Amino acid sequence: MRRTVASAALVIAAMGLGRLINDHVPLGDSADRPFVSTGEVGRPVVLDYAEVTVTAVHVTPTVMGNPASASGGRWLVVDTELLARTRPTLMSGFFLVDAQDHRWIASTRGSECASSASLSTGVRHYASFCFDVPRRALGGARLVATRGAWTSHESEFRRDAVADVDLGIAGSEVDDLWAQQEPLDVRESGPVPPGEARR
Amino acid sequence: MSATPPDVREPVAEDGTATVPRRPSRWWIVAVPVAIVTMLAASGYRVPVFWWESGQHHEIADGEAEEWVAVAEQTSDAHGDLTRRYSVRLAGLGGADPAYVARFDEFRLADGMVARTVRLDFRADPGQSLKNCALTLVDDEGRQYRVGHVHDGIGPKTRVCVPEETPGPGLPIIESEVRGRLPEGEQPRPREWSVSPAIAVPENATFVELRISFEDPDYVTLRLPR
Amino acid sequence: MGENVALGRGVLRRARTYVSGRPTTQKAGAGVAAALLASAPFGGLAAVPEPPPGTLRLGQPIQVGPYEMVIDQVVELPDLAPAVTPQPSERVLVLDAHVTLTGDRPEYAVTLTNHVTVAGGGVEVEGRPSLYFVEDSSRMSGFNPGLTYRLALTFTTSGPWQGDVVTVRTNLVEFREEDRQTLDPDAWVGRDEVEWQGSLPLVRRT
Repeated sequence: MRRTVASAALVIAAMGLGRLINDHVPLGDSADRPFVSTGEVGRPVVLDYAEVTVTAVHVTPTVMGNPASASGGRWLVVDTELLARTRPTLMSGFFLVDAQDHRWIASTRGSECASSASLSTGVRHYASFCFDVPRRALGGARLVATRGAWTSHESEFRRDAVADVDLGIAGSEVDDLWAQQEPLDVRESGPVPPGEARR
Repeated sequence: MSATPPDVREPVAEDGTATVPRRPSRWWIVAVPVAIVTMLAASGYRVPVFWWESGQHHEIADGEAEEWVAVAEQTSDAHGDLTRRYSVRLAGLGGADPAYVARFDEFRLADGMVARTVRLDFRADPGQSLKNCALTLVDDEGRQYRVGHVHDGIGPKTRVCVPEETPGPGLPIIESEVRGRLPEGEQPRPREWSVSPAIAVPENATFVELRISFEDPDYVTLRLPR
Repeated sequence: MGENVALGRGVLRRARTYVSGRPTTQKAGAGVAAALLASAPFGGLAAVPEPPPGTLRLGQPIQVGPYEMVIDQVVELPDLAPAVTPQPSERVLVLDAHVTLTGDRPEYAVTLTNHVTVAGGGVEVEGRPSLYFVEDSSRMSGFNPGLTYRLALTFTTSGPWQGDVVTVRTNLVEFREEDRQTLDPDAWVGRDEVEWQGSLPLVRRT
């Protein structure tokens, strides 16, 4: 009888311990959290598979193309330079994170707006990502770039290297950026530097 | 505390004869390894899906540059399993061109990169499907430079290892397609031919091998002279 | 006859002894079960009836999972070039709608297109609808929250629609913190249950 009580107590204690570990030890962090490298506009962020550089950030109501696409809010267009370091790499994850830690995905609407990037090793790739966002997403926005695409449970880039680049939009600049009317000509992504025509 | 714990004491029946002693259950000692193996097997599907089938892991043939290597690769199409057979010889690497010129890609390379051609000779039956091959140059630091894969940023995608005008048949992907049939008006591929696709590589890299791959994880290694 | 009565009494007595020997908790449980059974003729065991679908009208905002949708008109066209160009015998049925993603995270368009269907008209409707911007006929694949778009939800039908009304249905789409089917946390999951249904007038254009 005493043995039965002891083993019952042991089982209950083990279950309690499991519950405590589950509730209070950050297992999710060690199992899921990506490796984040932060950066800013104009400086390359070096990941183990690629270098990510944000070269310019634009805000416009209209992206030129065939046909021109008006935004629902405003287009936040992020120009990037991407370089695979050691092997050919497909990067499919490019999304925005705002100051409130909310996520915003890129639009595939403008024909020149990229949603992913196929990188040949050592060959610089130029790509622009277009985000159709409301005003609240602009201030403090960051571009996150990684290999796995964004999904609502963010499982595609677990334990992968992620570049997190501050786009340098201060809260005080948002009104001016929102008021801009100049349409933007987005260039086709690829290995040709912007401003240089294909040979 | 009594001298002997109650459940290891020899139980004595009422008529005084001893019965078999009661022992704690031991079946879990056998169950634990079975459970561990079952658990590993259940989550082991990740190994083939996310690793083995998603990269070059299985060398099916190898040889030196300038020697013919016969390849037989197991594959499958809409009609079932088949073997892809061909022979290949690496004739060498071409010179360095600062411009990358391929069918849809023509631009100047930067960052110390140059385009080098890979000169390959092939022999195969005209009925063999040899479209969609990828070529990977591996340098002495283990860096990989590839052309021909569906996810490659630059260069040709389907006609890397076959003649541009007479690429030969593709693998049937639906059952109504016939193996080895060419599109209307296309001439059959010759039995021997040469190709020289370009790969963008660093000008100062030293290459140790070229890999030819149609489907992961299989590849053929052709070693370059050091 | 008398034997039968005696037998019946014997069974009753044994049952009474058995019942009185049970602990109080079991007696209470049996009482509840008996009460439930007794209520059966009055619907005590019947499932709670599902609420009938809400009535869908033109211009009325409805919720499809995370999306708020207002259908402005239903139009039939021979084609919707450059977005949709069906066979000459087929037609395109368009729900011309304003759609807003509510909540605070992006969603892909399939969360909407998987859960809207049309019926009636004596024709076959092919598969799931596609979603295009009315403004530039580019495809809509993913939404950011808080923005409203005028979109065309397009269905390809096997031939001209018969009659002047289209029955539009939307399914119930629930937010689940843990979905047992996909094991995905915080997922929008469609149920096989109509949430909104309405007969909307059809406009024909050539």
